[in-house]
Amino acid sequence: MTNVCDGSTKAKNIRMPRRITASSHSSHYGRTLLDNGIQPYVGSFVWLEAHRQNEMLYRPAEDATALQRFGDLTPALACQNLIPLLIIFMAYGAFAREREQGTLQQLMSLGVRPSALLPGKTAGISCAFLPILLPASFVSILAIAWLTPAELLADEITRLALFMLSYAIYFGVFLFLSLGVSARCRSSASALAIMLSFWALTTLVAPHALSDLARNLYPTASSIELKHGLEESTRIAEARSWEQTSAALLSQYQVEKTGDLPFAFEGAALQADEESTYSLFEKHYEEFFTALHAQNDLHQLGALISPLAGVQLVSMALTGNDLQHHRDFILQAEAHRRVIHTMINDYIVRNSTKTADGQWRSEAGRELWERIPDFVYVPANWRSAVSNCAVGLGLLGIWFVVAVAGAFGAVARIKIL
Amino acid sequence: MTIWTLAALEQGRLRRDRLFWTVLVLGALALAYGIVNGVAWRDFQQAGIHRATAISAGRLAEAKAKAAELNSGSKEQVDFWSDPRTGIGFEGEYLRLYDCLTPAPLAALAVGQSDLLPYCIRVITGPWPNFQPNYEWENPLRLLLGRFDCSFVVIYLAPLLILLTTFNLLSREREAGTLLLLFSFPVSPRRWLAVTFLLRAAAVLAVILGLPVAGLFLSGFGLAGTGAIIQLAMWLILVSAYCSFWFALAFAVNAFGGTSESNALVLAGCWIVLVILIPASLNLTLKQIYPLPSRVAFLNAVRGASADAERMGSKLLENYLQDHSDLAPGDKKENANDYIETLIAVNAETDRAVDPLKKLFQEQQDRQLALIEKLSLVSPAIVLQQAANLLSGNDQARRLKFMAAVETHRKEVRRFLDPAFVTEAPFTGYDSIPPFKYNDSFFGVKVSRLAGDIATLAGFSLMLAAWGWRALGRPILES
Repeated sequence: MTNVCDGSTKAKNIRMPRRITASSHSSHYGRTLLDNGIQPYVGSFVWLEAHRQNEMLYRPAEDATALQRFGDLTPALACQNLIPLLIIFMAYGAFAREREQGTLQQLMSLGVRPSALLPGKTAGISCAFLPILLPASFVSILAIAWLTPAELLADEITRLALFMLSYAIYFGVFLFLSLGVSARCRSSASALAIMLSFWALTTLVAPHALSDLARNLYPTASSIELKHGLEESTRIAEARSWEQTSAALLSQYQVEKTGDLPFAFEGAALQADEESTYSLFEKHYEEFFTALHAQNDLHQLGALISPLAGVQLVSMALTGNDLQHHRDFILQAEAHRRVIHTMINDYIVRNSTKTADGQWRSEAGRELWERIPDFVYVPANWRSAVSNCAVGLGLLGIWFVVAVAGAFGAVARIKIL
Repeated sequence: MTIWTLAALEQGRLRRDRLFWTVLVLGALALAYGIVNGVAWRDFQQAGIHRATAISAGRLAEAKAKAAELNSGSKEQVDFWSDPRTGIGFEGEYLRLYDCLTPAPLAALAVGQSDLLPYCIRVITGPWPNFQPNYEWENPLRLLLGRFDCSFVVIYLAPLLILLTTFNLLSREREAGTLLLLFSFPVSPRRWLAVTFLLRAAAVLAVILGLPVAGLFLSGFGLAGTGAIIQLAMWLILVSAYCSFWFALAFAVNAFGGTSESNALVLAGCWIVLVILIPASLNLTLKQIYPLPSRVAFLNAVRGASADAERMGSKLLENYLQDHSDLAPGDKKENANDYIETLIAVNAETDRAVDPLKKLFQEQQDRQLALIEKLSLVSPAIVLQQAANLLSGNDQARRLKFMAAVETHRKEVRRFLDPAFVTEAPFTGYDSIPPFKYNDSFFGVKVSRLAGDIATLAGFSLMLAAWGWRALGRPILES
């Protein structure tokens, strides 16, 4: 790869190396198999080039058909939507059907206390899921151990343990609510109808409604507006930077034109040009991501009305496929871009030579490109992931406590006839 | 007992059914929220399109004004790369060309693929490599969850609303011990259950069809638009057919005389399989049968082709100029070493090398779409989603066609501007830039496809209703 700097021209006549950095923030590890989170909806690559912090390219969902909107059949989808439904199907009749069939009365006549019935029913129904959940957990642990580099294994296993614990709490919410409703309802049919309505409201209606509500409360401008604003502000900053650098160097070296400087002006000007836009990119992207984080915070608070809203964000955070991990990757890629272009501009300043026609030229060879470090993404640790979803996790815990208390309360007041 | 007397009696019972009205009100609220969100998204796109048009016109006017100022003897020193009188300066600094896809008349009813695929594309025509995506900046979590629009309410919630209010119409009479009393009237179970279902269907459909239509008209929908009446009529028929399917399913399940509990389990199971499992499984299957090539491999190929073209350097330029004599190099110092010509030739060679790979993506996507069309029969939810997207103009095919038209336009503008990038003559073609052409016809293939979708849903509904009708022929009171 060569880097040609023709002194007569500005930035565009300088062939810069271009790099594509693959988004690898979690795809190397097994946990993505459990929940791919927002990955299909964020780009897969960043095009690193001079002058511009680019957006990510090629979102997998863009290449998919409209069926993608029905969801990916991942373990997360099964855990978030289908297993709660199975729990409801298994638990709605636990007390109500016994009452309808008259067997509840027989049980009580044996001296069984209602408060002892609940743990028994809970254990029975939970055990029915063990043939599915235990092998799934075992396979997940093996997959993660197989796919994770040794130095990250402890972090990955901790994430997996928390992932399983979160889902256990989530399943517990549905199990205890179903048992409580079954104890309170006169008929098993009405217990089933109530729990199915609850499932539909909390897993279908609430997440969709919350996401649109969040967008209405914390809107973002259109990409046309955002990009235009960014382009205009960088254009002005670059022009100003070029003039200021030129004036400063002419004054410092007491020469009349930039061609008379003892080094290639373009190298210094390009670096100043780059640096003048750093804060602008930071400001524009920060504003956008601040709005997105506010939207996600509202979604997290939505766990007050829907346990799914909580577990969804917890699951994505623990598998490294949430907004914070995505943002983290973008920031690291941008830092890498800055390193590359600082090194190149520095090379131009230090190694350009003047040609017979008074132009500065430099050609970089292998020695420069080999000095440029590879991009190595450093993933956030599990503590950072948990801190991003602490509210959701806390609300999920509250749901669990309320569900357990509600179930015990309902069973304590159970009507036998 | 006449059918009217029966209807009057059932209407009285329905009026007192608190669960039914509660669920219907919740459904109405959901629909209202859906239409508000749909209209907001349509308006957002329209505002974006207006903004893009304004930016484009504004920059063009600035280019003309600056060129006039410089031509009138201004002493201002303008760099070659930002001088509007040079092709390269005009393209780089002033040309902001956007090709936009106007929302269709029913766009507010189904967001479809419009939040994922671009509705406004910046046409970049310069000789520089470009990797700028054109998608809307959106919260990926929102894209993952999908929009709460009318089509979401109809696809997911309307069936639940229907099943919840009808799953035990016959069984509850038996369980409450009122079945004997009910059939002591001179009325057959078939006629009674049919009337009961029809009354509920009328109330549900009045809300599901009426609210979105009212919302559309309130948000400025005009019947004068091309095909607007036909599209609206097809939406109404389509949604009616979809709801009929779920009513017919509930009718059939009721007719088999199970308990309320077993009816609820069967109907909830059907809903999960038809609305959640089959579409998600089909999505997975499509990706396995017709996998798209890897984007990593694609980008590596682009880089490889670009590097090869750069290595060919002067030889490539020589060949290229034989075919494009209008791009023969001038002698301006900014273009030392035929830099721009070489760049144009390298880009053309890279495009030529990458075109077969792009076609591979297109071919696989076409195969996936064709397979969905064939297999959509397996789930009414897929039929409705595809048809709703088609009607709202937010289907994948329309977006892909739009993107292909933009690519054609980009090539036309490039052909127009490339000579200006290398010539010494001042650039004056501000008003001669080739316009964007996009033919967007609703009629023809779309109408026949929608008619097929409606016939499919109606056919399944009739079969289920007939099955239930037949089952009601057996003695109800003995079961």
